[in-house]
Amino acid sequence: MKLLGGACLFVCLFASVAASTDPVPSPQPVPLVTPPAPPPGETLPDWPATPVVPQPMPPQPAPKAVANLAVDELYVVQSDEDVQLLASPPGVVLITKESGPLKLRGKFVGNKIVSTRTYQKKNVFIVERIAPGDVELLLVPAGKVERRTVGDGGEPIPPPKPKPDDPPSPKPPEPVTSFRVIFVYETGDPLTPAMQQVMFGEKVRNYLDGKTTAHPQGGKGWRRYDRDVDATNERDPDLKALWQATKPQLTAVPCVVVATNRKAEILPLPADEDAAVKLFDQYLSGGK
Amino acid sequence: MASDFIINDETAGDDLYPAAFGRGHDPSQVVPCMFAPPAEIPLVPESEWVPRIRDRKKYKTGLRDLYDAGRAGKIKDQNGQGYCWAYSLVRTCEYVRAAMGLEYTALSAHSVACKVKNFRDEGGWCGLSAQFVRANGVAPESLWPAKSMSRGHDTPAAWEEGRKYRITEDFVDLTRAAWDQDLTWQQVVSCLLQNIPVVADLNWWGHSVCYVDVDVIDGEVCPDLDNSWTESWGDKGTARLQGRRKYPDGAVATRVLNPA
Repeated sequence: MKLLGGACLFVCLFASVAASTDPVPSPQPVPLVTPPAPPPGETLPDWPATPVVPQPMPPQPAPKAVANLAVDELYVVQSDEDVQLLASPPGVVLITKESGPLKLRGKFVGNKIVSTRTYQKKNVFIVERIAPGDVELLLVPAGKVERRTVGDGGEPIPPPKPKPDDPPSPKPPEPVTSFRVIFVYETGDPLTPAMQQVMFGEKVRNYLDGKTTAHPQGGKGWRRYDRDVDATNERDPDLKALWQATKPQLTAVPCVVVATNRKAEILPLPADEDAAVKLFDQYLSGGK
Repeated sequence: MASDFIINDETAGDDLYPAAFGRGHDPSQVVPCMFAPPAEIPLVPESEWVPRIRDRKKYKTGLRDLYDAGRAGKIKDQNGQGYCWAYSLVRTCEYVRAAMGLEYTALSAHSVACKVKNFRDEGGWCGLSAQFVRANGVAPESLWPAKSMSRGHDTPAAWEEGRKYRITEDFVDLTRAAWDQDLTWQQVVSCLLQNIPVVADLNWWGHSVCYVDVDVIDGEVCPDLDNSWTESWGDKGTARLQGRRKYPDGAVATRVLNPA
């Protein structure tokens, strides 16, 4: 159990409550001076406001008992008086106000088993944790403020359940179960040495030999195709399907078709063999 | 790795010219051709040849590197018959398939030559075999065994399968007959630098071979070839040509086969 800060917010709340309370322990706050209400039909004159003189605040009592509130526990406050229960900082706990008498079933703070309790008083506040961190609860009845600090006990807080309107969180990368590559070029057009390095070089060749998904009849899982080839008789049925799906989509060549699992992308030819291996690595790691 | 066997202008021609391997000329066999003319070959400027060859060696991007990596099968054996013009062409088909990343399938040059020559042992030209393979394909050796002259292999099943290995794109001169196909030296080198294998008919040798790659010997750009006289010839069946002997008298460049 920890005592926390949040003193600034407490002071402000206390000041506003104290100003509206009568009687108030000394020192007496200075009442605000307000202009008289104008007669009907008249406009309000530009009345100078009287400055509020700040008064020294009396020393505040330290917060009382401190509890650890787990995410599945209930912290219940009840009162027959008209009170407010505030939390500082906001967003750590959810406060629900109910009318008593009230019967509640759940895990109550400090009691690790599920039980049923009856709260007889007029106002019942149910406090539930929605985020990690410590929080100060401010009970503000007429004329006084009581504070409680609620810690999280250092326990990990599971992520909040997504609301129906929340966008779906990004999924982890799907494991790559198949990896195929087709370099596409026009054999009637010249290839630069850099293009040849990517398409025919030993480094990329060995990389793809080892990494692509081979087929028992079709051999290695990668090809170099002229853009006009007809893959009707391609022995690898997956490469055949890949080519039939991507050939109509081709625009500029040379390019490279990279397919992981059942998804294919047509990409510009990488600048050199190192860039090609890096690109393929990204797809293999599921990062693309 | 480039071949250690070099044939240059000082090499005696008789040592390289078995009489049975003559390519022969038969001007009566004139067949029109239909594919892209050599004029459309994108020429690589001569000033770039040597730097590009060095680059190819550095990154191992050439067809010879695919052969060294075991992706293009073995050197063929025409079995002492006059079918070099079919073997050289069929070898380019095997290299095109290697360049496409396809598994090696041995293709039967004898199936082409036997059909073109009606099972007679005769010479021909690369343009003739290219014309046949464009139209009919080439039977795989699984259906038409290597070196076999048997008509028993000439079956519909063999040619149904063979059609999967048709040449679909090559560089052919539309204005010339099959026996008169040729490429300039600049076109030959440009093709080889683009990993397009070239069939080269060489009159001085009476022979046709497959130009696979290019190399530099004493500052001169030379073709690196596959012969079809088994691996016992030359440097494990390969050689490089230097001097005037490298210039083909007939040539066709095979660009594309459909994957099969």
